[in-house]
Amino acid sequence: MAEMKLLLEHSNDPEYATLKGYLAKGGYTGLGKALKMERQAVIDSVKASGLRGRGGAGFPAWIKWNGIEKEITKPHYMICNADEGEPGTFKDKELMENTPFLVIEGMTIGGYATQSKVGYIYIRGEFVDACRAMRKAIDEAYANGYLGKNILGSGVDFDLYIHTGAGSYECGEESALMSSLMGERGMPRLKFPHAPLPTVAGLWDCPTIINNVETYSCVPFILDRGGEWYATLGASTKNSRGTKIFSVSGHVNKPGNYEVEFGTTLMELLDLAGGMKGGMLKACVPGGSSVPIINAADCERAIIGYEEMAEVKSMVGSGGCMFLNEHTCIVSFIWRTAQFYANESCGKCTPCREGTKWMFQILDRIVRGKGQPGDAELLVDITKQIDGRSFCGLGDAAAWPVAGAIRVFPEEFEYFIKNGRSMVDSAESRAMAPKWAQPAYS
Amino acid sequence: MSETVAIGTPRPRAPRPEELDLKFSESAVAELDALKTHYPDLKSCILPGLWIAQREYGGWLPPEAIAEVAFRLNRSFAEVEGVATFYTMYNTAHKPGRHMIEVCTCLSCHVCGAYRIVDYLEEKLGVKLGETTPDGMFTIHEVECLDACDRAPVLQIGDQYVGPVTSEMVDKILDDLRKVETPSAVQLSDAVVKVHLRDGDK
Amino acid sequence: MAVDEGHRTVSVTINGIEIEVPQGELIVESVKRLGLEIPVFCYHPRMKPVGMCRMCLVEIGFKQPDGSVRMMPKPQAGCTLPASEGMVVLTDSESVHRDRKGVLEFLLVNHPLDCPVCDRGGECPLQNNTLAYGPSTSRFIDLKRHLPKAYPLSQYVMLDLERCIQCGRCVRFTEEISGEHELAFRFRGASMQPSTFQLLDFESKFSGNVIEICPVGALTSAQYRFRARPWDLQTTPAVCTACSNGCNVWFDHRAGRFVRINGRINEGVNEEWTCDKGKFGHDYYNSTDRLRTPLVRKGDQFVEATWAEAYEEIVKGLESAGKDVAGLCGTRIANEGLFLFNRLFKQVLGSRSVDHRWTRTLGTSRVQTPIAGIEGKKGVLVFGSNPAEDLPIVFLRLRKAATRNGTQVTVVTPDVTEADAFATVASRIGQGDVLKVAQEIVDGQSELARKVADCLKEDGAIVTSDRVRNLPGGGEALRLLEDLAARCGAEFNCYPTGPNAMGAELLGVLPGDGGLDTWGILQGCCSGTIKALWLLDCDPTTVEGGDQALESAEFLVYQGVTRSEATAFANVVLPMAAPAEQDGTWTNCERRLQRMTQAIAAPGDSKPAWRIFSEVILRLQPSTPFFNPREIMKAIADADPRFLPGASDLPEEGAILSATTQAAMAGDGA
Repeated sequence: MAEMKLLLEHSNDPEYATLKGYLAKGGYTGLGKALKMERQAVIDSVKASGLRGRGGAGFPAWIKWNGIEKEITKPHYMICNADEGEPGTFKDKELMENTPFLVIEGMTIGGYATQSKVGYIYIRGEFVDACRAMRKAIDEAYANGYLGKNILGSGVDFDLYIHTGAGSYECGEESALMSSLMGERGMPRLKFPHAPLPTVAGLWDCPTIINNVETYSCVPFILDRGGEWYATLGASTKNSRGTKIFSVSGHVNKPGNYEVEFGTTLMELLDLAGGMKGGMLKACVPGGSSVPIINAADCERAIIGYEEMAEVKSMVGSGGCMFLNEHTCIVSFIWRTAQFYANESCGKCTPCREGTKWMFQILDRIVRGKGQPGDAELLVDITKQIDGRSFCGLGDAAAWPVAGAIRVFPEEFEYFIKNGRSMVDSAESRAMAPKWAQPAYS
Repeated sequence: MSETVAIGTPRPRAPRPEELDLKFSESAVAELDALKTHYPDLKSCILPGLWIAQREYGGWLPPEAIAEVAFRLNRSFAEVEGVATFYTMYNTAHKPGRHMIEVCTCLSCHVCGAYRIVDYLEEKLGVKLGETTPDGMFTIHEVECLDACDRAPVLQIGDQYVGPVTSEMVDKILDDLRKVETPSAVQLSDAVVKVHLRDGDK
Repeated sequence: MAVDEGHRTVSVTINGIEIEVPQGELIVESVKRLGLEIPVFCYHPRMKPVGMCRMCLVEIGFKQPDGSVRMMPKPQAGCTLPASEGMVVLTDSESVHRDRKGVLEFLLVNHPLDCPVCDRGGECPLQNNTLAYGPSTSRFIDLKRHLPKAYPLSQYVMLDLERCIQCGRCVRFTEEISGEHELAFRFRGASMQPSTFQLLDFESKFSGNVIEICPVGALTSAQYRFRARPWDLQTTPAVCTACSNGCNVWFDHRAGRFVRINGRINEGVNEEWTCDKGKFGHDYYNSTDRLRTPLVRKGDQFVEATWAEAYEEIVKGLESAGKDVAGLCGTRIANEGLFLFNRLFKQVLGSRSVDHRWTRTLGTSRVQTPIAGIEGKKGVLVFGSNPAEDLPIVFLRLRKAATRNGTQVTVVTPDVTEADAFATVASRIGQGDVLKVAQEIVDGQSELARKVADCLKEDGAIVTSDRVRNLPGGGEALRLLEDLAARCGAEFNCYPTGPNAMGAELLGVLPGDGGLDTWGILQGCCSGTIKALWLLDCDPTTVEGGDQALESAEFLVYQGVTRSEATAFANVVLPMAAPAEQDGTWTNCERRLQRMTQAIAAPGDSKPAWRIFSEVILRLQPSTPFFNPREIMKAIADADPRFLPGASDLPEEGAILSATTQAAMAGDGA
């Protein structure tokens, strides 16, 4: 299938980031329709669309919206998770910089549907350009009656604040984000069944909805053109509806964001990104660094869909798709992945705090040529002690890439451990490695 | 750290509120006051408050800056220090050079040549990652994913992402930076603070 | 939580056994009902569960309508999981044991092998759990982290960051229980470590508690450092005698010498906490200033004497003074000793001049709210002094009431208090304005008065201490507030602050009709009206006019545990046993009578106060000396029915005495 630009249709038009340009292209029609519907009808529309969270978990959005208290006893909050931290992903960046009103409109519709009068957009601190675009758009919306009191004369109020992070991947986890928003260290909070769901007690113990930037951006289209229409997109898959923006990067000729219908194949996506650069396809991490790596053979048969990706033992995740060519040393790639998780672990729970650092120390040893026999088995064992035992998903996210890479490319690990050097022997692979690691590639 | 201290010796203590030398300018105080209206709980102002403090204290957060934020928000010093040291963009460890160059070496940037940029910077500036040049002009750091992977390899300097970066571009970047007076951490912190403030707050 | 009527229960199946437990009870507690135990590190029953260490992972499932059991795909933390209907718990399966081994292996990756030099060895949950569930060898061959060790965090607390397993108990204690949030985690991931701000002094009145709750040797006592191994210690249940709160403690000793104090559970008094004044305030037991033999003055010198010689001197001195004798005491003396001290002067010597009080103006206490009762109050007025300073455990209870039960707290004090942090109203008054402000509150017109009235309107209590009497007008202010409380239907409390001051007061160690009070006695010494003075464990040189009084006194007996400035003035010095060196009962600030049994022998020739007075009385008046403190308590109870609970076996947690004899006779509790 070809690219299907729904959210990104006008992303290249600088006017679209202004209110005037947004309205000119049909913006805020969705909100206009929503405000004339009953709140439940808006939620039903989202249900009919089959929209699943675009942040990485793929949880049906309508369940969250429907799950919030219908009777108001405390203020309701709407949070947009714009702490895009998953390596390989940059779709939210483009959406915020180029189509900021989609996000605002989506949150406003959500605010109406869930009776939330206050919304926060938690944007990672590094994304200053995205922050500025959102700030400008929000100010424009306020100035023209699209935010604040009595939106479009409907009697509905919605206030939107920007709150930035300050450098923590863990704050992309929804409960850690709430902690950070409340002024604490970005550590996750107890989840169901240990504590009530955020829709019951979230931010400041009040009912809260958290969704990803891309998820909110889909909502105006769902309300404008109807949930049933949205569900026709991706109908070839089992249960993945609509379009998904994939951030394609790595060894491709045209890295960038590509929006495709669910059901597109991974190879079609690679084509859209201009095909491989610098060598043949060797492996792909299709959904951000947390999802298991897949080899070229599996890439050939992979179809983009939440259930479909499970067939190749991977996931859609955040859609951060990195294609790696034949010169990539998988061991080195996983070494850097492990370093990422060790640095980003918040430290709350024992398995992730100690396990991510230990895995990194083992891989560091291997990459320096000092691997010991049994290291690969030890790594897999460690992943088994982290996966499912950690407090939040970051532990799982740290364990899957290591376990997945050893499962799919066992020979590379064996070779490196046994011989103290990489199995990938080329000038190009040496060019990717840090200076101190280069001896392993000559 | 080895310190031989007789057991029972009184330890150096944290400053009392009246001993603090507050440095927030009037406009900074006004900014913090505006931020307090954004949340139902004062504690939420800790993060944006630390951004304000980082700007006011010249691009980093010495212990005094943390104490001032804690004092202004009625929280304990330890709590605010705990928050500040958790996040990487708050410079608590040391004052960076005038310009901090952060190189992403994560996944896509890694396979697209980020380490060559690191090598070039280390060689050109004569320092290793995490160090500051003797003239105090540049500090280089390695950072985790900046999520701009389509422009790999990517640098962050102040509020700007620069990418895709080549060794050839680095020279020009450094030369241009030498002409900029405002420390990049100050400029970044200011930009972040401004992003929080609504039209009505300014 | 007992399972009884009124609690909704659910049926859970633990290791195949089905039981009813209160709905919402944490699984880690439910399993205890079957005598099982889930190992934990970060969980602490008095703090919110966090599920950080993952040591308590168990397998959880749910009974389905068709009778089958659907197990959850991942193990769950038992310390945060509330019990619900149909829950199935497996605490001993193979996978649970594997998970425990995994967690321990992770903890031991960076935990140093310090056991030989670590104070916690022998009473260490990490050691115990590793022995029970852990790996016997390490697979870790990389570099362990290196961090400051043996770092003096305060004069009492030593920090060893390498040993820390990041359980968060210490941080959560300072946040949830003591409230100062002095400790917080810094940095993140494997670098995460608890610390004070900039590793500066850990300034807290309750810092000792983190030593006890730390599951490893990361936070240890500087005082106890390297003093003993736990298996060398004997431990005796005791009552802390640093202040009037009477917290229950464990008195640890070794080969007859005091070693350390740990908190002991008493839900009515201190729950399980201690304060630093008490926990670290018992080293005087081993002080080189301990008095060990009686001393008699010969010219300028003190000469060691036998008890018989000392008593002879005393009898001579007292007889020559006739009725012009007086007694002053401190309050770190058991009920039995105080009773006989009082009897010696009032009945045997015929003097009415005895006193135990040392505040600027004198008065008596009034206590209507037991410590645990503060939790149930809807509003509390704190007036005149800082409860965290005077009555630390009362303060903790007040904080618990405010933060967990929504109690409205109004603070009206001269200085900043720790209670300000959770008070709804915190008002500063001048040191000299106590009476004026009390009047203002009683008048009911001002803003402050209205706030106080609002605070006390329903289920209210006023909390003050006898320290308020040190402020000018303090005594009168307390009287006004007592009246106010009566009018509002609130409870009034002026808690005494001396260790057994309540006991002294109930036993009548106060001036009789026409007798002199403390200040009168000191003046009397100067003017010659008082010729002989007996100092029982007190040092008048610390108060105004004390030096002159002691100089002027013709005959002075100093009876104490340690030397003080006053000792030098004495004619006879009597060495006294410290509280834990004798059997005795103590009365805390809420009138709770608690019994202490002797833990260690008194050093040298020192004797408990009750025996000293018994022997002196014998030499002045033919009588049968008391055999032991139990007999004395029986005599006390005979004279004063309020003390009846002491005459029989006291329950472990003590018993609160009735406020009045009428109430005692009527069988009403306090």
